[in-house]
Amino acid sequence: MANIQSNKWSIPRRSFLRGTGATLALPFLDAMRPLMAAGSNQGVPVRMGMLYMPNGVRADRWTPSGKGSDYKLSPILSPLQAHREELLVLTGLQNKASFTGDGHYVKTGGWLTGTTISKTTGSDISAGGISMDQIAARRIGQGTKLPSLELGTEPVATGIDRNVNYTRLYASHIAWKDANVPLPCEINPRVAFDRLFRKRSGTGEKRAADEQSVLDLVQEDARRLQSKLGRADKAKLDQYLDSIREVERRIEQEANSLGAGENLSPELLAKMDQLDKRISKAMGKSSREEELSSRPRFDHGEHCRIMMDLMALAFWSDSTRVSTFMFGNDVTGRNFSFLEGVNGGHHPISHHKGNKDQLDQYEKINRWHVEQYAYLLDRMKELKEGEGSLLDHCMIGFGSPIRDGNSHNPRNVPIVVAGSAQGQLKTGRHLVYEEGTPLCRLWLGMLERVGAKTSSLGDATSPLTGLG
Amino acid sequence: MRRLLLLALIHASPADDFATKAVPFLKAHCYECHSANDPKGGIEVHEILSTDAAYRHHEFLDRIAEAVKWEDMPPPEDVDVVPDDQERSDFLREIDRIRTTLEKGDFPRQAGRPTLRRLNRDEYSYTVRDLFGVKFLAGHDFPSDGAGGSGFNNTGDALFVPPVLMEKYLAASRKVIDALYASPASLNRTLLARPDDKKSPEQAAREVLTIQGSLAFRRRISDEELNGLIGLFNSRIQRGDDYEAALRSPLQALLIHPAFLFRVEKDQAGKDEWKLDDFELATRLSYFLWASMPDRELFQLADQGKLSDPAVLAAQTERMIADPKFEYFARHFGGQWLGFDDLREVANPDPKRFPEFTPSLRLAMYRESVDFLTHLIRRNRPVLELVHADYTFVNGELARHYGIPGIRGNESQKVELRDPQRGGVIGQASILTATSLPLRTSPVKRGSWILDNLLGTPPPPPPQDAGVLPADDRSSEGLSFRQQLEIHRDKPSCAGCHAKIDPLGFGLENFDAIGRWRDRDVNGKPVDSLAVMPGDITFSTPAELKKLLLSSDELFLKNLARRMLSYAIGRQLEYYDEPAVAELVRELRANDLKAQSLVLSIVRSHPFQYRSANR
Repeated sequence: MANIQSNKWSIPRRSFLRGTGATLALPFLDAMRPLMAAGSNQGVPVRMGMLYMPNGVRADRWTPSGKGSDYKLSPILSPLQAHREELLVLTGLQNKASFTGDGHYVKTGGWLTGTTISKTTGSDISAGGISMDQIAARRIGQGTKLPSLELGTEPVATGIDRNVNYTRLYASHIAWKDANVPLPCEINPRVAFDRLFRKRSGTGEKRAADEQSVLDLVQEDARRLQSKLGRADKAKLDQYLDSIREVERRIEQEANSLGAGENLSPELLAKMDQLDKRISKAMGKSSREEELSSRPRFDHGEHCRIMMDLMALAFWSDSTRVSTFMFGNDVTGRNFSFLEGVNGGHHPISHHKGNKDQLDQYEKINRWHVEQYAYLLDRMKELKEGEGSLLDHCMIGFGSPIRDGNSHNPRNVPIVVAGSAQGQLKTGRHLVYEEGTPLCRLWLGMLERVGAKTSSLGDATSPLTGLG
Repeated sequence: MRRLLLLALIHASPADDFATKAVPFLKAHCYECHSANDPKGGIEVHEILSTDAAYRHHEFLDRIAEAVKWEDMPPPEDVDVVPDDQERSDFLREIDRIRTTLEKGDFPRQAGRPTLRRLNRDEYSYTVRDLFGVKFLAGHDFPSDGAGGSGFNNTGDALFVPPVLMEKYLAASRKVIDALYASPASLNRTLLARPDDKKSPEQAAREVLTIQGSLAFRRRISDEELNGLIGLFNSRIQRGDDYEAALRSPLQALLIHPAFLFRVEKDQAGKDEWKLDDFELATRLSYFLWASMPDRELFQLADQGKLSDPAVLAAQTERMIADPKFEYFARHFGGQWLGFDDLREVANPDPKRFPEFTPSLRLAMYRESVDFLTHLIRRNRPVLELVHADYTFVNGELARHYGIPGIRGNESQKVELRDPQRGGVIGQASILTATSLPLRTSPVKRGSWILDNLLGTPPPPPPQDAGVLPADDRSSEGLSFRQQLEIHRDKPSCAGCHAKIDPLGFGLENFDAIGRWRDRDVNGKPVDSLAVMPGDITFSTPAELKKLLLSSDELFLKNLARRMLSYAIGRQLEYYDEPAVAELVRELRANDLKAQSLVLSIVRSHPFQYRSANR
């Protein structure tokens, strides 16, 4: 049975000590206090999570009433009441580059890039630019186990949408390492858990050295091979070489890090163990091996909540500082009949054509997503860190790149940010911007606060004013 | 710069018939609505200005021609000037000329150039299985791959190497090598040479790695590559490892080596195009038909330079079709072309409304489609049996689902169908379920599926304000679902397309959302499956619909040829592939539509056997 305690967590102390000189990424746990200024936020990093909700919202039930700190949450946002003071709801933002193309793919593929994806059924797949989470990963993700963590619940959508001539893979990716490299979401919670928290078994120092020589060799051969290839083929090997370097960085980082069992706080171990057991329970398989190889097909709510718990623990253990989560792929037809009063799939219902009954169902699906978001915020608030909670040191965005799903309206997109990034955001407000303000200005504002200040992104050249 | 110049020359060329004969028509009658700003229906006509552009957009032009021919476009109710008959026929003649030229290959030909293909996760799993004999699917926890080209996940352009995948390659390589070393039989099969009195450890390792390296790279390993691997071996020997242990590193290196993970096809300097070498041909062949690496026999023939011999190639193709691994062709080509792959991941019938839809039934449905397609090709049946056949494959559970008596047990078995409604892919529950919504059938989805997946003529996208039907077919306001659909598509902006899509789906209304036969709908009313197509064509049952499809098979055959060719060469088809497609259909007809003749023709075709410097 799956149980983390039975597996090899520790790495030899020697290999930790060997790693002097490299950046030490410290888990910001109470157990680590002796290493930090006690009870202080000094050195606690800001983390950023972006949650993607497919298929837009019921527009007339999204926007809060009132402005500034004197605002009242809308029906869809009402599950966030307990977090009202930790929220920024933003109105009036848009991604201009997504106004073209089609109803969905352009909006999703370019949500975090602020660019226009190329219209293609396969060749020259491109988002047009790097996504904001990956800008952050490049800048602040190099000292942690993973530069970034991409999570989701649905496999990459296959095939071509020949109605509109886009490859459906655009619907499944919001994180772009660069314009040409989409990052797939991990959808199996067991695989994600093991990737984050389980030590590779049997990796001794000798084996690590052997593997390093293996990696050296294949890189050398790849470079030699590359010199004989054409442009498009070269680009594929570039990805290969980049990814090997990234894996090397991770191996080195792991060896250097304080991931050794004796340094993990009992509290973190307990949380990991809890989540570990919960994953096994939810997946309902007879062995860990089966969990690893199965398609996650179980209660959607529990699936989403587990993936978000993984995000929270990944942040809390400082395994990564940047993460995205897709509740579903764009255009998902997921059956939401498990909700009282809802009958049917998400995408069909989003095309409500003004029918009152369908609008009600659409609203219920929206509110359900907000409830899950609230769940994540609850969890992050429970996790203590420095002088406050994990949430205090985060910015967790939640939104959709279209407003009304029926008309695919890309103006005034629904977007909320929770967490103050250590007081850098003045939360507890509804900010109303002039219609047409670039969404990318919010992204720039978040990047600045996460420690990855960037001068321009998409159609924005300055961060939003009035955020903090 | 050169490109601009070229464009300028094309535009200036007085010989460009398309520019003089067709573009004025497009300008006069189409640009107003279908150009760069706010292109209606996502259609941008203004890009097609020359014969060259017309070639590139030929499929689109065919759609334009259809609309113009049937006087759907320009829409008479919305425009001031409607083209007269002469204008129409001149325009259509020009598009016809483009099509004929393309099919004849009467233009500078090229073989095309698939982008370097990484093994997708299925191919990776099967390849590792065949290489080292491991029993598990080593790529099971890799991220799933997206699709490009004609909708297949073996398209080089759509296969990426994100860091998470590299992490998994490394983890999988450890696991595979551990499994290999844990099984004495597998290890002995792999370590074909051992050091002895006459053979030093290094000599023995060279022998092993020459063979395993060549198998892994699907060609003879180069000296440079071999020396690198021997270097890994030697450094472990020097450290005190024994012979077997020292081979771990070089064997692990094979599994993350670029020549293993990517299917490399060499360039040949100074040539516009060239024939693939025999190893490259063997690789294309084996991933086409097995989704895995070539076996010993293919390697031997390739090494002897015999595989490209047409008679040998044909015999090998037949042998491979007979091999059990050919099932993977049915799974991956068929699953993605016909969409029954969606049954595995996407289809989600509501468990309360359809408690009969158990995991085992889901599997049996998938099995039926795989077995049917495998059988059809292996027994060299006519490809039109895809549209209608008098047999299928069921186990006990699926037989009960279909109302076929007398079948028991879990094993899928071939059964004769006496009912003319069920046979062919249209009557397979896998596809009927995958084209339904959680709570109801979708005549629109089923109709689109026939137009797109079967006939290769996808309907254009719905207008932005189209709206969608209720998700459930439980009656509201006393209207049947069909009545609601008919009201919905009464809008002029919808009617044009839906008049072609919906009837096809109505004809299948006797199949419910999980593919069972029904005479009454969910509200207890008799199923109304009467369908009227434009041109006063009527039909009312799946059997009649199939007859209709069979009566004019050109679109179906051409689409089948296109999709299979695209799957085989791992890239999107381009205009310059049209002569090959036309040839495939001609040969298929000449061979009484026998399924294997299509596979053979693809293997013999120019785009399959050649590669060009540019794409």
